Amino acid sequence: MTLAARQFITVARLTAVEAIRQPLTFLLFTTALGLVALLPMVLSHTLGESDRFVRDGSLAFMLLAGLILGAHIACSALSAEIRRGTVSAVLSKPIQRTVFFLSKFAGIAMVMCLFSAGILMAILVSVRTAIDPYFIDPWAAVPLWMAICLAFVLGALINFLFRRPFISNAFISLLLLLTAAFIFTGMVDQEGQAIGFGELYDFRILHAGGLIILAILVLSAISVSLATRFSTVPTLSICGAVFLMGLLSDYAFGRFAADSLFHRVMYYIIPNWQHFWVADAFAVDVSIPIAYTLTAAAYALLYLSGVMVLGMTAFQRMEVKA
Amino acid sequence: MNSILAIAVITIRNAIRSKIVIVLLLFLLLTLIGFPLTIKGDGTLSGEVRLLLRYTLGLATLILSIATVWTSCAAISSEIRYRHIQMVLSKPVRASQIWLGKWIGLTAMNAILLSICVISTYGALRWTTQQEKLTEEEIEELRTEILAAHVPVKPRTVDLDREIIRQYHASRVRGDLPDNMPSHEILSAIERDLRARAYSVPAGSSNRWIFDLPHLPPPDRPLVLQYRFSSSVMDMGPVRGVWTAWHPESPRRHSETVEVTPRTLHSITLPSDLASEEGTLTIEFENTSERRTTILFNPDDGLRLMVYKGDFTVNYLKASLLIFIHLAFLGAIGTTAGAFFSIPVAALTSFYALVLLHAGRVIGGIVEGDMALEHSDAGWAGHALASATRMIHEGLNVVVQPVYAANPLSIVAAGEWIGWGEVGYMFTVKIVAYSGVLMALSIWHLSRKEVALPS
Amino acid sequence: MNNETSYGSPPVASAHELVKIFRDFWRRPKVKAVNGITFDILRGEVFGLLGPNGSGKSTTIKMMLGLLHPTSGHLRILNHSPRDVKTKSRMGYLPEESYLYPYLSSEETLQFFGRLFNLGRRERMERIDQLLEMIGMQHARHRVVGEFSKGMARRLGLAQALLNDPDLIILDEPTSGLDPLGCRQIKDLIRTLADRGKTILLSSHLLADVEDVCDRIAILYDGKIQAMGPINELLEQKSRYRVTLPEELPPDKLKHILAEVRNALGDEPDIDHPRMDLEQFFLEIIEKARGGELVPTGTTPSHGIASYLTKNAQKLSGATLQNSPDHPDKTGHIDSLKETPGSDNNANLRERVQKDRDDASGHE
Repeated sequence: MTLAARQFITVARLTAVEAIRQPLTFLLFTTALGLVALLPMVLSHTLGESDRFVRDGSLAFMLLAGLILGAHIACSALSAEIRRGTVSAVLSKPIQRTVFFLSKFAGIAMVMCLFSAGILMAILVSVRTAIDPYFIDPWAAVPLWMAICLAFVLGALINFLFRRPFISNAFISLLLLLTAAFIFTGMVDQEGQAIGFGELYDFRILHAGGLIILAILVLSAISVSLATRFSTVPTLSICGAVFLMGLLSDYAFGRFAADSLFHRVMYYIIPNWQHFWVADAFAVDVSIPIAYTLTAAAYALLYLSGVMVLGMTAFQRMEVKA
Repeated sequence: MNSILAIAVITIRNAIRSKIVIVLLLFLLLTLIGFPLTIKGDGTLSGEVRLLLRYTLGLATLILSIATVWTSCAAISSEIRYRHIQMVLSKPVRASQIWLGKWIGLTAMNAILLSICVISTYGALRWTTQQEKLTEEEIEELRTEILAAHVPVKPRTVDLDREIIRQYHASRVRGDLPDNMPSHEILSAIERDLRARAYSVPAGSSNRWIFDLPHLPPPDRPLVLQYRFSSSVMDMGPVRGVWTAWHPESPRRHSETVEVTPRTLHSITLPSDLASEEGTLTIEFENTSERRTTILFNPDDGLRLMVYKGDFTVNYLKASLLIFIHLAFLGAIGTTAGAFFSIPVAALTSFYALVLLHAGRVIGGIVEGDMALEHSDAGWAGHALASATRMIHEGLNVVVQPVYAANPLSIVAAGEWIGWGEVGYMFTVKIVAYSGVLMALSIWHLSRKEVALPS
Repeated sequence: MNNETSYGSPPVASAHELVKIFRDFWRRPKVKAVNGITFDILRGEVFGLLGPNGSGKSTTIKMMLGLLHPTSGHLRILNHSPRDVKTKSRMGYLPEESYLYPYLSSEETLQFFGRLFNLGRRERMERIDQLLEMIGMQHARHRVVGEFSKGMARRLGLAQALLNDPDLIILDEPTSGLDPLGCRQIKDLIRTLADRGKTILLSSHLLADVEDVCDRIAILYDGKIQAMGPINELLEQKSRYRVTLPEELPPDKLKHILAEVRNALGDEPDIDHPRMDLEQFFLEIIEKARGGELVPTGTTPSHGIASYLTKNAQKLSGATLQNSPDHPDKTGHIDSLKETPGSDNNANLRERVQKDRDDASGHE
């Protein structure tokens, strides 16, 4: 393996580990999971539509929590490290700035994917909880809640017995327990009888979830690029603004794009989150064409690369304070 | 006192010099100027005013709220993180002085920023509603409906209890009650049915309501009846009808024929002297639709008689005060969270608190049993979960309900009057009681906390 | 140096079997930072806490300030609990690093702390003027702390510690980050304050600093006091002797003396030339290089000691003079400072350096 590749892996892994050691990462993860698990309970009275509400609501939570988490991790991985001087310590070693910057993003992307995988499994289980109206499927709800609660217990136990940090261990335990709950629930039906794995899961959710992961990665890339120049508060503020404008993109800019240069420019610059939101299509039972997904993925990748190039340029020229 | 002021001044100075205030001000100005330019209203004058008050100023206060929560979370926690607090606590300063100083500093800053928003919105409002640009009709609408504060009056409710019992017994005698339904559910079903009847008007017939005015409006201030209904035909097509208003001791009647669409808010103006000396007024709606459309006025806010109470400006000022009180309360939540946790965790904790506060109505609904959690036949696990959630909700309800209030901007935009009593109540509850409890919590924690622990 | 038995008053600070254990989340002991230390700090002395990194110096100091709470043992500061808010108005504290607000200017920083001490406006302004002059930062009055070098931040930290004219001054690594000139100034200031009746607790791992200014020291290692006592007693090697001969001794006379010594000992004595220490040498070089203007970097000439600190000292000076008979030179030097507040600072410094050199060679 070349030196650059080894450096890339080292920095990326370190960034990921640092990120999952942060209390906020775990808190956001559990908050999103808690909401996903809670939705079927609150919505069980909505006649026949509860699985749709649960699905849409959960995916929205996933998007929102993912965006906040991505922005926060990017700030702590870059702007906070620049301020603390960690970056200057690393850059005084023979590592290229490009490698460093890319590996930082790779680390963040890794955490975001772990986070998204966990949430998506929970969403699959949670939507199954709500398939039948006025009925909460205990074979799905109980394992899901158990996974969330047990993760705290496991994290605490590991901290007590082995004196290892609580947060990161609870995070990893939570991922493992979610996987276990996902597999277990996949193999039983509402009565607890064995079925073929995943027969009751609505796997279309993975499709929608995949697109949401792309959206999260795009915003993380924007955050990382901003974090090269700005401190935490401006980075978070700008990300928030970009997110909001991206939500309103069609309404605020798209409508006038034909007539006004300003609106057209804004429409092209601001990422349009609507492209990544296909949950509405499920409601009318339209299957999403592969071509659409590929186009959306290409849009995300292009956007991401553009933002990363800008961020890299900014980072190359940055003077790192000691 | 000196120490509290010193800490407050430092808080403001730090916020200004760390450019937080500049960034915030920029965002606010961007919102106040940019939002009305990007988003177009529905073209009507009342739409423009609503856009300014509810959305533009609403978004500005939302930004201010988020910034308040964030900066207040940072207020004490960054002090601990960067160890400034070690310098402060090695001086003769109490934890209470630190908390109060930080909170007063933040609140003063909020006062200034909010004033900027409120004053500039008021300016924009006056500019939008310049008399020269408006038609005669619009000026009148402005004077009577938009730029005025009214007390909304709902129709007199009839005592339904006797009727409910009567119907219940009648059904039981007939033997058409379902066997497995508990009696309280049957009673509430009957009640729902009767209530719906009281607000519905089938085609070709009419229904009437009696309003008791709390006071008689001045002669030049007409009464405004605001109404909103849904129709039994789902095509959103217009419904024709005749409104008639009178009071029994007078021969005078006021009639108006309307053709209006369901689900939107409409209004008619009635002469102010139509009501009796005691303030009673009867209003009738006759459904003259050719199609067989039954309409149903929303029982909560589908029929409201707006009685003039006061000037818009004072009302707007009171709404601003309510927002200010809320911001100060948010500051107290954040400052307290920051005394316990580090910044991001404190922000998340405050966010939880805010979600709970804003979910006040939902929580209230759940506790009152509107959302039937216990209906699920989910076995033991479902029942355990349901009763656990119910208990949590009931506990939360006690805490959340006193501070729950509708958005003051929507109230002002709807032309409703805000009483000084309301302002006083919110001040007492949010600032004196709740913020006081939060402060006590922080002091208790800070005076026990070892601030110099190795990190 | 000062002897503890010469004071009749109760100790300014006293610790008895003080223990501090840092615990983890489960309340299990993690680190025993301070492990049963007992000491008294007496009025008017400079007490040094000496020890390597992690020996428990800062933990002890932070317990004395009430920023950490002792796990067990007894700790009294100015006859009160260290968590008592009122005692803090009689204490001054310079932390080991600058914990000042980065966005405030020097003056605003001092104004802020002055208000926390509830000093009146006029008093505050007077003291701030004097302190800024004393630390030689009048010119940086309106510059923000975030832009300061470590040395400047340190000086400002010292100024805020003296703002309330404290009876007990706690200095955590006071000379860290300072250049030799700054170190010298701070050490002089410490002696001055001590001789004026202030009690000073100083922690350091720079042995030279401690040796220069402390009356008594405690050496901490592993959270325990390994040695404690007046510095002279601790350092004196009773079994060895040093003979100092007058300067410019004619060679034949020296030869004669050496012959006598050799005869008496029956052995060859070690002979070399006395060396000045590097600090003095450095100060002289800098002084020459600047044409007599001895000014630390980033600061302007300081003008002796803030007069409010001296004013207070006058009340106490009689007692102090009586109590420090073995320091006539230093007390005299301070008196000269008091008589000439300001203008003649450089002459003072030169004089001080010279005196210290004499002092040092006198000991040798």
